[in-house]
Amino acid sequence: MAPYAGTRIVTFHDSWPNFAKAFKLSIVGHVEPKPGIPPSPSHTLEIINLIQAQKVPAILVEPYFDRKTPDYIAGKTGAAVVIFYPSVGGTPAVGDYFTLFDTNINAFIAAAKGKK
Amino acid sequence: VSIFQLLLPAFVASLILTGIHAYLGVHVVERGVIFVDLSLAQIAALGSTVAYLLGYDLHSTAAYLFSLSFTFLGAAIFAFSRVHRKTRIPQEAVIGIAYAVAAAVAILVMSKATQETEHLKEMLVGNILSVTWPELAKTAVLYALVGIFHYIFRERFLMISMDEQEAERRGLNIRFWDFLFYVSFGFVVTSSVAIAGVLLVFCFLIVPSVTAMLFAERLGPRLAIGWGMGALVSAAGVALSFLLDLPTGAAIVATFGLTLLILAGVRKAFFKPIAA
Repeated sequence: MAPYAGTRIVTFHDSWPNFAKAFKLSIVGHVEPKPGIPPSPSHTLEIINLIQAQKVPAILVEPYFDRKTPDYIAGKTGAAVVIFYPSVGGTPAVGDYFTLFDTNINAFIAAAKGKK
Repeated sequence: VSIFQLLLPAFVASLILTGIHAYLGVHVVERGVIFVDLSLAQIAALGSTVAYLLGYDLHSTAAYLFSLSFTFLGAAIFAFSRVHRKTRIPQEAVIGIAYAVAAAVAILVMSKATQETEHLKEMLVGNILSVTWPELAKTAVLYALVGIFHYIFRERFLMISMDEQEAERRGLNIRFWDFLFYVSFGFVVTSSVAIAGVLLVFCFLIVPSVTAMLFAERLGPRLAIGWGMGALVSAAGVALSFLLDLPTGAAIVATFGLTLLILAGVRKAFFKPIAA
């Protein structure tokens, strides 16, 4: 992850602060800042412009959120929607805590590489 | 991306939804089956939930076909449970039961799912802002087809909705036509809810139709009022959601409510009382 230090990302909710801190990523915004309340037009516009201006490669979304809004923003900006599993068992392949981090990190790198 | 580019699809979506729902709403209000769309939407959601349990992605064709077949099943239930004239059981009772049971069974199905699931809630919420042009084009074609179907058979559908006894006297197969009505209705509601969520779809269906009934009796003027109101209120709601920084769907719903309230006041203050 070292080569990607300083990469800017957008997350669905405010849910990955420790992950971002550990790998020196900078979270610049959230798709849905108030959990459960659909984002307003101005907020969505702000996120779209932010992603474009700061060349954000990835939008991290937990598997249980609806992808419609993140997919929409991705379609407008070219950023990739990356599914991030918050816990073991989120998908059958994630069997323990180490695979959890490997899965998430690999998904992130795939998206970040694609944009470099 | 400008704010205009962001809001335009949502506004066009509102117009398309108004077009078909303000018409279907006339039937729904005349029949007194107000909550049929919530019930069918819940049954459709149950269909996608079952598809999800079987391993299909929620936005796949397979999941769509599942939700559609469940909707047809719901249509059959509503067509064949039309017994209220003879037994005093209101149709709304059947609709309510179908809603509650479909919602409960969806929870049961979800409890057996192996993956993390919060989709069920999301499916019924929707975000009209995230609708895309290809999605809108598909929806417009589908609704146009349903509209043409209803236009061709308008006399039968309207007679059953507005004057059931006359329809019976003329020997129409009411159950058959009811089934077709609910199937076409289910088609529309399933797609609409995916775009706009249940609250907004309910508003597009019921509020223009009820508002029109305050001012007109004949079908033509009622449709004109319903469509006009739907279009204006959608535009106002979308604009308000931008100006006041609010979620778009809920802003449109609240604008519909407020407009109905104001128009009801106008009706009372300036028009003759409604003849009983």
